[in-house]
Amino acid sequence: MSQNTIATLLKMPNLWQRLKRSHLIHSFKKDKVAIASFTILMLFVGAAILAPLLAPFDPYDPSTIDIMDSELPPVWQEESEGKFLLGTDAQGRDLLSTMLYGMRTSLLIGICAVLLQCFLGVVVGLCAGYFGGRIDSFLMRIADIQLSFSTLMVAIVVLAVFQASFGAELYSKLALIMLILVIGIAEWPQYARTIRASVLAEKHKEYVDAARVMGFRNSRIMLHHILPNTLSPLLVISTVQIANAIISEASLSFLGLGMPVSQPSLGSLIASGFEYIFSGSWWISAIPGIVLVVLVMVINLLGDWLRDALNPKLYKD
Amino acid sequence: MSFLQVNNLEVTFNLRNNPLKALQSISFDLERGERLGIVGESGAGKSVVAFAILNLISRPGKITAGEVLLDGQDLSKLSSKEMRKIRGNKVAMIFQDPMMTLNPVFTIGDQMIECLKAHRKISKANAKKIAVQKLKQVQIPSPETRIDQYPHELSGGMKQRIIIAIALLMDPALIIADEPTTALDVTIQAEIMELLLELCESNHVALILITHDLGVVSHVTQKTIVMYAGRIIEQGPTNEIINDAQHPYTQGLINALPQQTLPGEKLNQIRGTMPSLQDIPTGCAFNPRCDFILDVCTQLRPAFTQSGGCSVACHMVQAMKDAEKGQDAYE
Amino acid sequence: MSNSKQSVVTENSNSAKQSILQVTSLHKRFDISGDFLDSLQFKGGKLCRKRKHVHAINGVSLEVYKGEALCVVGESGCGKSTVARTIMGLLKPSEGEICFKGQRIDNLSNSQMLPYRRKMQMIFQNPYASLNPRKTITETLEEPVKFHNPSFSSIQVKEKVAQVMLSVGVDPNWGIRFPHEFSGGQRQRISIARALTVEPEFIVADEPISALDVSIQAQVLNLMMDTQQERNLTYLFITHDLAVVEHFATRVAVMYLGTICELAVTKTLFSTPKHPYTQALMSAIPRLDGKNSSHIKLTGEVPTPINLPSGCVFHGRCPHANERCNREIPVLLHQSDGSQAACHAIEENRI
Repeated sequence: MSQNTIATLLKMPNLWQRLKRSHLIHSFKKDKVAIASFTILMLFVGAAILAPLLAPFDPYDPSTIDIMDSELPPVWQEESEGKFLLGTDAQGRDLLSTMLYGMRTSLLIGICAVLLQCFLGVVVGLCAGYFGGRIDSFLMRIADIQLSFSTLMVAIVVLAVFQASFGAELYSKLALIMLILVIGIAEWPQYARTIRASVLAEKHKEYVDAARVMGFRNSRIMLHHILPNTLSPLLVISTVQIANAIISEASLSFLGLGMPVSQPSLGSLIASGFEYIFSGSWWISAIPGIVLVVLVMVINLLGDWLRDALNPKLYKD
Repeated sequence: MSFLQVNNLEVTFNLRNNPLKALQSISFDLERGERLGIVGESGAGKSVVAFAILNLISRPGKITAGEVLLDGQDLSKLSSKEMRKIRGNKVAMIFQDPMMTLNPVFTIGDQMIECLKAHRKISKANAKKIAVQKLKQVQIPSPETRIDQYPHELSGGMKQRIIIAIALLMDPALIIADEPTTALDVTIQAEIMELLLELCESNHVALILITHDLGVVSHVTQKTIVMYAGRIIEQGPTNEIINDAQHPYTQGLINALPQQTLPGEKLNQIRGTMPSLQDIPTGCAFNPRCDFILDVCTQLRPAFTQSGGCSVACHMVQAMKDAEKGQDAYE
Repeated sequence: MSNSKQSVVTENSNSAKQSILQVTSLHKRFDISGDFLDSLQFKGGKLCRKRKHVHAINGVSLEVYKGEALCVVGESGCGKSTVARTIMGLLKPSEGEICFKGQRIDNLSNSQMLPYRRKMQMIFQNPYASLNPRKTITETLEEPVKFHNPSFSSIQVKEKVAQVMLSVGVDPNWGIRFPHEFSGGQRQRISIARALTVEPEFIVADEPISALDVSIQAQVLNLMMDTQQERNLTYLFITHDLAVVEHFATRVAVMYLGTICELAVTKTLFSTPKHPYTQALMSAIPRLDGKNSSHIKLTGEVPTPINLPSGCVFHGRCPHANERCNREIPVLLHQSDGSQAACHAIEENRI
């Protein structure tokens, strides 16, 4: 065994080079909509991460908020004050800063809730698909029961009960976690079904038989061999689910059951400004509303691109 | 003027702005009622020829040169509307996998009647009569009951017979069969090939049979084309090619069959594999795998030499022919 | 060497050969009754549960001797792949026993089976599905080495993988590539390499060359023959290609609808096939010389393994069937030339 061969074998495969040449990147470069959506999304995510640096004011600090500043219009209208670029809301908070922090909250809830859904769904789907039989029937019936309850309905009931029993103060401390839990637990069946379908298809392939013939344990086969081959549909539905989670949170906040007023999210901003639309201060609802729509839209467009790029039957350059 | 004449056909696939020639300089002709076999390994381009004749090459592929003349009409230049009148009508195609070719949600009868109604004005009742008659022709027992069955209720062999029946519905002048028996068992394979042979002979239908199985070709076809890396390397009467193959590749294919070696002995293999379209060697595409190469083989692509009744694209064969001629002249 | 391979396994010297695998009265049924609610039926005034089974294997008994290549031949649906999978433990038998060197293995748990996994390995039919598309070749080959040899250092593992790749003719430098970058023949070589990483004694090959081109079949078959000689392997080779069987096998078992019709040494089977089904199969092979022996046409369609015919499974299509064939299942009986055949007509000297 030559030293050269061993030296070659010990070198790690170059992931970056492989990624660069891959079909995914190539199809991304060709799709202008995907590039535009990705750029906008990165801007939003960047703004959210850098909120403490970018925001001109701190919306959580009550000392900086002056009720006299309330309902000031954005900079391009008359009667505005230069320092509030997008105007202020009903409590005198700078809308731009509040939106930056709000986007943070919305994205955080969206991503964490989806991670939770994904984890639960993958575990259930893997077990149901791989073991089959009674385990499969049992787990899928639970999923069916869960699906028959609408997410929003469950969320409303749970959050309302929680708020009522534990009081507003405790609620405002735990709101973020509660929302992540509720949205996460409500939507796992989507993942479970998708993964189960992929596992059922992969289970019959001969590389799984080869792994069993090698003597590998079931857990190893499920996690190491089958799961990596089921990731494509997972990625695609994750983008849609992130968008859905953000909208769910926004809807709940709009109904007063989401984030409290002191920790605004995009949804609660829209909610708080709703009554002021007709009295003339349209910007409090409209501007966060537009941002929310654009955010959800770019995530969905990226999801569309990803679904087409990962579908081998559509490989037509 | 032959019934089917293919002249210098070239098909290019444009992948990531990298053009790959799947077919180059394909020329052959076929008379009415004649049977041609196209032989080669996977990747040689045999199926591409079939699709090109029917103008079914779709993006990212395109017919970039040459012509396909059917009774003098160039099929490669026709519009899709005009091609639709030819497909299924004058030229029929049989695909490899009968499981995939039949639509699982329609009965056999529905699928056959649909074909008939697509090409002529005919009532459903008359179409059904013709369908039953064609099923009888392909020896399906009790066709009146079978016609209302779904594909999943039938065996592989039956499904392939039905596909042959569908191909015959419009009494085509040419049938292209792309590996029609590869997915079937040996006994069913024999029956299907016999049926196809019988039908072509009795109805005077021309046949292009695409396969990698030399045994089937020797039994059914009159002429054979051997393809390698998108080009024809040998063509001629089937019995000459089987019994006296000239090109080293064809010889290698025949010698690789287990029947050609004694049991227990190592099989005669052709070393290496067919090059992918991106890595076609300069000169003769077969030269890295050939045991008889001359210097010129790595530099220049061979032209066709006539040897007996066959055309062979091989420098060594040409050299041998030249040596013979020189010898004759000397004598 | 090759001639000795053929002649050494005759009926008389079988007792002298070491038997490596014994399959006794193997039956395998698949329950396709469906869900509990689907299978309920109203029959004769009361509710009962109707069960439907696919009878894939119906009483198969065979023995594989060390160093030989036993080929199991038959058409699709005859159950040969099911036999292979049951032997390897991928399926549990409904009845019968499977013993490896005298030790019963069909009733062992996963952990009890582990030592046998090193001795028995399998090669699969589809080169495109038998390698995990998300793992590089090196990862696929290293995994069994690491699993069965936990004490190996990483250098030892890499050396073993490189060595086994070289022995099947694949460049070890290509280990960082993924399966889709290889051709069908190369993938099949890698599958063989994977089976060889644990240094098995016995390999079950389930139609390993059916999906390949003729010239590549020759390459892979040569590789399997070389490997057999180098490592003193025993093969159970499942195929439907009789030409390959004639070339490669020491003994042949012909299967039809889950039963063995005929079991003989290769030369005997090809020169004097006894069972009517074997004779029909032989006549159907397309020969290059153009003189196809008059093809024996079998009447009727292959019956379904769900409702097995009574008596001999072949009687519906057999030109020599009589009333006894309809009633009684024939048993594999030893013939004068050392082969075995399950046919009443042969027993009664009607053919």
